[in-house]
Amino acid sequence: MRRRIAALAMLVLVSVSATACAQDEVTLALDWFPNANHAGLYLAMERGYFTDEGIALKVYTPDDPATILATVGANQDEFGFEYQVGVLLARAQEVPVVSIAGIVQHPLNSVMALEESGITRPRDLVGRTVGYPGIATDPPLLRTMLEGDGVPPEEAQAVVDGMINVGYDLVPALISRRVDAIVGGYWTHESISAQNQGFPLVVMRMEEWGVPDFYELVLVTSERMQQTQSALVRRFVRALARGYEEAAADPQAAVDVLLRRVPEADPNIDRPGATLLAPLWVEEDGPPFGWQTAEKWVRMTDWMKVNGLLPEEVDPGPAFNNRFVEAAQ
Amino acid sequence: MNGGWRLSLPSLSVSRAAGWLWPALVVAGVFAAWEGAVSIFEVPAWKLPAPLAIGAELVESRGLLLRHTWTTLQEVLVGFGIALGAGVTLAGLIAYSRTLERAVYPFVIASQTIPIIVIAPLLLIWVGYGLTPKVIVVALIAFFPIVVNTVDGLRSVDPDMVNMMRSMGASRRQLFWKVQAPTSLPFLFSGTKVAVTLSVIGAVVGEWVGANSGLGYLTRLSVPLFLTERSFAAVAVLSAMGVGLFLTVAALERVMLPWHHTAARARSLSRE
Repeated sequence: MRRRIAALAMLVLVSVSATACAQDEVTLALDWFPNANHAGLYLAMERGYFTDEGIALKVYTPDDPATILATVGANQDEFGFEYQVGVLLARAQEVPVVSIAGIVQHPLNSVMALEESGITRPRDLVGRTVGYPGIATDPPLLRTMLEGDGVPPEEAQAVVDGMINVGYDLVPALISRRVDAIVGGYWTHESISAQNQGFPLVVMRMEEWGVPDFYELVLVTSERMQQTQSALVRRFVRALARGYEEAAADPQAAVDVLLRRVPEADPNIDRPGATLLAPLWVEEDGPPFGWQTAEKWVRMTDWMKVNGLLPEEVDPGPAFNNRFVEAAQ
Repeated sequence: MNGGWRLSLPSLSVSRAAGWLWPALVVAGVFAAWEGAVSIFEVPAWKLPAPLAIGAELVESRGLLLRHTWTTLQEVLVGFGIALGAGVTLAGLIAYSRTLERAVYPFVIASQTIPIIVIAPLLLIWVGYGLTPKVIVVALIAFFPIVVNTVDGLRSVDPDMVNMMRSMGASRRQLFWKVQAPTSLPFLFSGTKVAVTLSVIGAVVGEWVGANSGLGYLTRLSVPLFLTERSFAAVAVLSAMGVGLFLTVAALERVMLPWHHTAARARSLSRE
């Protein structure tokens, strides 16, 4: 018995050291606690796609997603899932981060209200209170939507000035009726979570009310990584793309994996969420997973400049590229 | 640095000046090293801003900082005031009644083990998003050191003194006001000094989970915008607020307990 344990221990030791030699250790920081948005990532891990590429992957969620661009820019973390607008804000302050794949091809951030409130479109929010999670980009997004629905600028500004920072507990703020609507929640997550509590929500999608179409989530790395470790970055993107392409084809199988690996995830939110998200990971008859267009980057940059979020000199050109997505094909 | 130089300080006034000199030198040294390191290693501002850049931000954004300071100061003062009133009252009751002590004191201690950061977001949902939830967080954090120190103080009375007062026919009320209360004051001040600095942290915690103004909110807002200088400037103001409140309590202590202060100084001088 003892000899068997010793032999087993030897075997484990040998295999651990063998993989340790061959594999690159890489850390990925997530934008939020693991949820349906990360199903493709967990599928890739479960099916060993990262191991196949010689990558030992560690995934974690920092307590404030705003720190991801700083830790990636400082090369503490190799990769991160982040917001497109965050990448531009970071580059404006010379944080050397680059978006190398679009994870979610359209906005998920949206304005939501209780169905029973009678609010159906942005102009119904005039004279109402809107809660948001204290993120600087949410007020101008709401203002653009209000003006996109024909609300005069001064009335739109009054709604924006009356916004309340409710922290990250958006749904509780809404269903306890402390606010009439929320911005900053995802139509693939918060709307389902409220529905599950017995409060059906009305969703107002940003890109339908005058906000330029943008990438809700992108994969970021540092400029140094993409220059000096381009082979590793290419392998990482290839593994991730395999995971997301298979997750898009069978989102529920990907959620099965997510739930097994992250028991804290909520199947009642993530199952319907993944079905809504699948066409945003890989669009039908669209480009391959991760593809980003200059048009979306330029239009979002212009919108941010008009709204005073970015200085004039910020160039969206070097903020993103498709070279690793192309190489993953 | 140089032991001989320190020993050669002859008079009290010089040693008092030295009391300010050393911290000032340490601060100047740290800032110089920080400034130098940032410029030599070309640390970008989003990672670690240099002290001079933070100073420039303090001046440039003074209007903004002042407005947010006022919010935070209100939260701190109101919350701390509630903690002081409630804490001293409860401590008096605990010291007065054994039954009450057994019934309440364990819960006072247990209350301190509740992670306030978990309660803070719930407070928003319970009482709304104004000043109230922040004041409650401040009061919850500041309450504990005041109660514990005051209870210890009220119990630290010299039993011989109590026996003497009793034999002279003192009532329980007289015993409290003439013996217990004065004895416990230095303890109350120790607790207050801890509580007042914790209050500032409490206000930041309260603002961190959801606020529309305040220095904690300003740092929270600055992080995703990578305005690291502004975060540091707000932290500098918060720190100054904490130190200022601490010094105010210390000054009050000196005025209210002159005997205690002189005794403490005599002790510290005899150590030198």
